[in-house]
Amino acid sequence: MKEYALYIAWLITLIGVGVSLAASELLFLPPCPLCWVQRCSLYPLALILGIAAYRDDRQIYIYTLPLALIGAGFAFYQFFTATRGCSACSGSEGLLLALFSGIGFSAIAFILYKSRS
Amino acid sequence: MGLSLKKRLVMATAFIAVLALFSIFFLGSEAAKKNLAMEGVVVLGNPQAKMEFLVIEDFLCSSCRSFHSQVFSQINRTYIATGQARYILVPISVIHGSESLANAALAVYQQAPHSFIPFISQMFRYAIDDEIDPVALASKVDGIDLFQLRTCVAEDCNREKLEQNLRWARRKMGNRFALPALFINGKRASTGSFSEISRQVADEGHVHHFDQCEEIVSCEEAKEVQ
Repeated sequence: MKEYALYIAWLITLIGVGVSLAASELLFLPPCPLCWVQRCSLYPLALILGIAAYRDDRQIYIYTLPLALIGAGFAFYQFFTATRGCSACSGSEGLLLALFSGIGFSAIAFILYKSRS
Repeated sequence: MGLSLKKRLVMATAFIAVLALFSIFFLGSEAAKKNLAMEGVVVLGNPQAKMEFLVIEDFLCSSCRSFHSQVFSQINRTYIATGQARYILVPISVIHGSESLANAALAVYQQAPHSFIPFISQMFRYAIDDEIDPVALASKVDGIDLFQLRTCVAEDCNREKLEQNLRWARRKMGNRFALPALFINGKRASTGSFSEISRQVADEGHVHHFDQCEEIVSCEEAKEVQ
């Protein structure tokens, strides 16, 4: 399982990218500033983890773990303070996205930490 | 030497991800092309008028209630009834429990357009939570076929139109999503007071602000109606 850890982390990242783009482009949920911070953490991961999974570079956690932790921090902050945040994300759809985002980032961070060589 | 299984898997996933990315943007651009469907909105006043008020409302939203009681009646008297403007109401449902009210409002407009304003006035007056039965409210208004309305509410007959309205409203307002939303000739306007609205109407130049129109005959006529 550890052999495919980077690939699984990358797959989770890709799902996150797909969901975030579908939310804004297909469901027309406007991304709030907190959503943008999470995107800034997520989108580089999609590229970096893809290359790392191809090259099986387990040292990549040095660069990607902080990104995943920053994303998780902002996602959970958004989830727990949604009513004080932007109005666009205080609805049930926004809350659900923030929760999934937090879980996704945490899972990526956990996998990266466990798979380090 | 050939690529390992894992590398092939990564490459295949990357290929699928790129395809999915293009699909999302393609579907998004197609969805964005869809305009507001006229069968899901309410049009009042003169359809040929140069001035257009477009209002997006949820019938359980308290600000929409204030707007209806304090501002809409004046807009109606001044611009809609005088034929100077058309008023497009886009009902949406974002507050839990308002679906049946929005559904009933559209159903009333479809079957008895002249009963629409009295009906929504009843709704804004009495429907302060989701326990109000829109058919009971409709029974206080003349000209509405209650059996037809009850069937429509039970079958949620306008659900698709309301969902389309909501998607359109989200796209139109983006990060500035707030209710009620008023657009005068496509430009976002304040919903705070009638004087602010009439000032913006005057700035638009199609209909003259009453404070500035001493020399204009059409304004005199409008004043009389007011």
